[in-house]
Amino acid sequence: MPDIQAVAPVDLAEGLQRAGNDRAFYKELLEMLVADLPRQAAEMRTALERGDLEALRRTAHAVKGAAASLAAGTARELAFQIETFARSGRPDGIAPLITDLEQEGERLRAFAGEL
Amino acid sequence: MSRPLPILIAEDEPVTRRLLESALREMGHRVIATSDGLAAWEAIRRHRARIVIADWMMPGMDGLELVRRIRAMPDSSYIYTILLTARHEKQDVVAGLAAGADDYVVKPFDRDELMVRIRAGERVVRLEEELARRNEQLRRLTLIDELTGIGNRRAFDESLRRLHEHSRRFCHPLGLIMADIDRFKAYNDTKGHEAGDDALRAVARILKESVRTGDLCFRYGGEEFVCLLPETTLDGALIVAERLRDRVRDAGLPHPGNPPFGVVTISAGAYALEPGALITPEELLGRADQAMYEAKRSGRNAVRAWRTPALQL
Repeated sequence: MPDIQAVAPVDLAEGLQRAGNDRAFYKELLEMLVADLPRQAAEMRTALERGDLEALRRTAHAVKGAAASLAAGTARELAFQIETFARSGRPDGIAPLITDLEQEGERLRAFAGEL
Repeated sequence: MSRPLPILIAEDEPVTRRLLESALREMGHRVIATSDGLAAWEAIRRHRARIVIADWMMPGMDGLELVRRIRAMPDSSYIYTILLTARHEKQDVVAGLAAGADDYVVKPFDRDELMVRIRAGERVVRLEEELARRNEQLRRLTLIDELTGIGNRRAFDESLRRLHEHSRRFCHPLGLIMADIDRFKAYNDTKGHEAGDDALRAVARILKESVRTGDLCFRYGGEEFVCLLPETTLDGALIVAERLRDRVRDAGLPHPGNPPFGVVTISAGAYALEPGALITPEELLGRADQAMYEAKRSGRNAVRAWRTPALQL
């Protein structure tokens, strides 16, 4: 896995294209994603503690979808890994990935603030 | 851009849902956004959605099941369906299309690609609308008598079957009048077929204007007309038949070949399905027809009813 700090949190050109090249709309959607992330991370932790991998997978799937739609590559990749671990019944590596995802959320929040 | 279509989105993930909404609104469509399959199923019927974009994975009811339900809807206009999926494995695509989806889009979707796929759906929907409109037009044409503009024999057969069934079931009466222009062959022979056509049109108009609201008139064929009178007993049918006979004679269309009247007249026979009686549509029609010949035999410009023969014990 590459050093996540070194990569831009979104591919802005692609993200803007997905939002019809409407910068304000793209910013709004990115802020939506950022605002939802803490709640989703908490949900995934709770699901992990309960051993409910199916609920964990569903939440990770939703995060992945939103991140992919906005070309937020790192967030998408982290969510995809969580989803994959959850689907294959391997909860061990998931907790640190949720922490990484939260940190990535903060980077996205800072990025969105400057758009 | 033509008239906007009602397009329904079923997507539980809010960012994707907003992106879909914005693309469809930019295309000028009316968008209904829902976040699960059950809400989508309700909204599709309430808003008469013509295009549905459904996420494969949703809480409540998934996109696959939603598509299956749409395809099982009876009597609905064609609904063009697009499945949205993060999967692009071949077997998933096949399963989606086999369930009845028209197309699929892989997430994250490309905005321009989505728009052209929606346009393809629009073409199908508008083509289907046009086809349905023309079919309705054709159906109407097949039920109307071209010469007189009233219902034709086929329309009569349909109405008789429907009204007879209804009347039998609810024990209501149903009257029927068979009417025939007197000595029409002589009229055609002396005045020509164009005048004959005019006379047919005139008689059709008089009949139509002389029956009551709810009564139906048809050209049965040649110079024969038939009227269906819902909720009408034989006594009522005779009153209507007498009025038809009067009005046609009073119109005073010259017909020298029809002595002693000298004008166009009709002979009419009436019969009715009385409440609770067990007669078939064919018997109803056949008896009114027999009564009409009775009216002819009695000297024309007359009305007769078919009466039950005295019981032979």
